[in-house]
Amino acid sequence: MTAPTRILLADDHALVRQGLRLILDAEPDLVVVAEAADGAEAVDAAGADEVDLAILDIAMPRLTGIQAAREISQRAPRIHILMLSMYDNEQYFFESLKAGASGYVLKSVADRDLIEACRASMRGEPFLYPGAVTALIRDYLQRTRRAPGCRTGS
Amino acid sequence: MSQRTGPAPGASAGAERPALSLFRRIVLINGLVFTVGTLVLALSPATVSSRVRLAEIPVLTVGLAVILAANALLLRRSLAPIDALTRVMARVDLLRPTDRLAERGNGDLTRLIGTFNAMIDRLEAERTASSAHALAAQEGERQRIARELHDEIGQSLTAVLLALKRVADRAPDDLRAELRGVQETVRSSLDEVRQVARRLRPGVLEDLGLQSALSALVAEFTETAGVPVTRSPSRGLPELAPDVELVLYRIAQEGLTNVARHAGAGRVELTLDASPGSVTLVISDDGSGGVVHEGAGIRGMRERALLIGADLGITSAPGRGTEVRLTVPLPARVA
Repeated sequence: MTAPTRILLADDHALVRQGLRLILDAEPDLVVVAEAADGAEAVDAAGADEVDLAILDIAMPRLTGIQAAREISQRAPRIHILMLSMYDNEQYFFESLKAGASGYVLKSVADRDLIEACRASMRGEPFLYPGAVTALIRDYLQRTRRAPGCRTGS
Repeated sequence: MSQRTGPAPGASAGAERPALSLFRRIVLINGLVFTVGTLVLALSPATVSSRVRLAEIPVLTVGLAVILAANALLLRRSLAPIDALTRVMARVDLLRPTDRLAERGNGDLTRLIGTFNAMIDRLEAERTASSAHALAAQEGERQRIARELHDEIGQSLTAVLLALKRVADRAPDDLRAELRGVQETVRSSLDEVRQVARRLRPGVLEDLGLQSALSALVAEFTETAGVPVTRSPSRGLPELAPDVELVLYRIAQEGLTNVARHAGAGRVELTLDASPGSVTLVISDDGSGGVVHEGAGIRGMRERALLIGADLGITSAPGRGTEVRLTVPLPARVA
């Protein structure tokens, strides 16, 4: 049995943070080692503590989750990043991917999906919500449809 | 508002008051015509007997007719601009700020037209200011409610959902099914809260900017209305002020809503393009077209367009779809 995954948990809402922590700590292979109430705290905690996985709420004061993810993935690229979000909007999802996150979990299904997302993330696999897959496919198709025109244009 | 009482101070009363100068003009015209008539009577060999003779009646009648005709003609030319002014008054629309009567020719009435135009300018300025105020208040309020829904109710429901999972995991089997039901109820309330918040205020606009917000809008529209939207990529778009972005977003939103409601379209195209000095947003569909009556939606669009000094044009020929075109002028240094 390998050592449990050490998790940094960042969410500005204390009750949500507590709920997430209880769920994560209940799993034998996951342990929350640090908590943060905003983006800047999360970046600091990711630097100081020995963390394997950062779970970041997307809407936080001081630094948003996306900004924090960008900072963390630059400073400590070995840390896996999961975004936790209220928005099932693919624009946030795309921005999260750009910022270095490997997974995107909706808060409305966090109770169901979060554990699985953590494990997928540690295996180096992406974790997407169902709508994100649709959005990716649609985006890809639009790009390919547009591509011939672009090619003749350039 | 200060000019409401009496003649403008410091102005010579006659020149500044159209009523008085119009009176003078009419007296002058009448006087001129009568003088000419009198002169003709005095200097020509024509005479009128003390008892009018039969032969004189036609001459008198013709003379009178000439006098009346000359008078009528001169007065009519003099007063013609009042007709034009009345027509403009009847059709003036504060939501379309281009309608003005040219201040040309005809001395005294020019001033009347000028005063009228100035009044319309004032009304428009006032209207724009007050609707800007109302819209700003509305947007602010929406933002506050959306944020509270998101940050308070949304987060609390999330916390409930997480706690319920813990309870459900440890609950005896007979309770577990019931708890799952409760979880799903909470989950769908959370979804509803999120949707309401998003309709109230597009968080994506503030967080990720106009391009992403329009993409999100288009994706959502395609999903809910089932009509494909072609969104041409916009290149070279300059940095826009937040209020301009909000107006562009709201007008795109309203335009798409109208398409979904009325057009019966099979295809929609949304483009946002920059050219030197302006940015143009176009929403066109291939639906039924023929928009005659401008409802609240279009009025709302016009009000928003006025806020940023943009021009909103709607072309809608029956059977040939509708095109909404918003042209936003940019300050010269940005372009």
